Amino acid sequence: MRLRTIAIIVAEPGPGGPDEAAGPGMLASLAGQPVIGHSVAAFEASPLIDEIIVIAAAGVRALLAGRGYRKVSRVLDPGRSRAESVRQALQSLGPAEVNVLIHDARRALVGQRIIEDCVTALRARQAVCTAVPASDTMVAVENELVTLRPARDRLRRRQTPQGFRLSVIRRGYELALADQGAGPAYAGPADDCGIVLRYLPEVTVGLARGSELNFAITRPADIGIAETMLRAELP
Amino acid sequence: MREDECLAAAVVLASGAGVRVGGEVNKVYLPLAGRSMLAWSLRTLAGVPGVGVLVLVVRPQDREQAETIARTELAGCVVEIVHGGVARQDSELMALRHLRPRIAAGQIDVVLMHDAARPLVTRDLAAAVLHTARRSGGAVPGVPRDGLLQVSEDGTVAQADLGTLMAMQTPQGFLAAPLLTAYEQAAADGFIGTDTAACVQRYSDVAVRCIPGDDGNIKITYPHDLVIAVNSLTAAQPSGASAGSPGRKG
Repeated sequence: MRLRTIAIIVAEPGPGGPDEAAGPGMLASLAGQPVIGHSVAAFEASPLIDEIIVIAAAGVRALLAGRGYRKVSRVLDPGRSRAESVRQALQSLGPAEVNVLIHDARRALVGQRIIEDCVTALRARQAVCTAVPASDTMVAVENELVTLRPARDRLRRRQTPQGFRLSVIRRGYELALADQGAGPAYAGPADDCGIVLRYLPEVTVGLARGSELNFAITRPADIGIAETMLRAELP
Repeated sequence: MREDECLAAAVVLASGAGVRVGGEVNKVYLPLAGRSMLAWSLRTLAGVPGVGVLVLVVRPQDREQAETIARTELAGCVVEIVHGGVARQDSELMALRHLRPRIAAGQIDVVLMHDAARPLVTRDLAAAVLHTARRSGGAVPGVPRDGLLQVSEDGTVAQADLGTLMAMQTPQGFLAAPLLTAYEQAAADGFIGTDTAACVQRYSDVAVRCIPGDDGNIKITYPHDLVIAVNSLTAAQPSGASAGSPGRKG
């Protein structure tokens, strides 16, 4: 039986907070569509996605309301941290087991192939991270000196969506919260797969293939880069 | 010999196949804002104070094209063209063997190894690499990268967050004599490193210092990188200094 699959799209303000000057916001125009609209449209178009929950501020809510997305069931207010936002979205779901795909809306050019790969990988795993190869040689540096050289063929750059069985990621967040004892503002491991690996070491986290196109738009120049990539039609 | 009497050699590696970007053509010969890609970094490195020797490593089948570019796009620069090997490391070794007499005579004290697929390198970055290599023995430019994970042999995630690592760029600079010795030793052992520093660290005691790289110094890997590079070169000052920071993110 196919599990119901719910996309949670996290539309966080840019790295400098809501200040648009720090980087393009969710409403910045990318190839004629606001940044947030690209992700929502991609998950809306996927036959593998049954429902979409968006976590975003009021401006985005108004924009989405006018676009007639059929699968968007609700738009939740952001919490004080990304972790709080995601935890609230997970709590808003019922007791039935489902798959959730948590996606960062700054990765506006997520496409059908990536969504499909992530959902497919979730059939065999309870947690899946989308990632791309690390194309550069990476080293650790200590006191300005190059020390550790992790094997490049074992390194990946993390992307989203990251997919989970609801029960697994919910439990991960509960344990993370209890561990921190810091209240709802818990800020975490920076990503959801990190929470599973740290708090649920018995769960194997699988991999799904990302894309260079699926990069995070964080700086003003990234809009132009994304538009160029779209024209170049990367796989 | 005093330091200011020694010269550094800049080696530009253009001997990879590099056909992912431009189809059949080796990408480093693709036109980029009015010149071929490899001519951009050669010109920049030629202008670095202290660099007195320019070596271009090419595939034998590209030699004619490389000579034409040296004549037409790099007039006024003496470019020594050397045939490369199959792998990047073989090509570096060929360049070092070509320089061996001058290294042995103490005429060349530092070698900068640069990837021709990084046409946006600035004179300032190359000068900083040279400066640090002279003082410390080895210098590599690096830019910080987050969001890295490690996979295990079975293709699952072993570690979700490796913290901040540094992505290595070029040029990488090293004292010439230990560099040559390290490469000969690596060749004898059949060791292949992922970059120049890997070989040096394995076969010498030279300390490899990481200096701040430049987000604009991108490696042309995908077709859209060409457009990013053109935009950057077009916006740049006539001096060749890179404007803005077009680097790609994860």
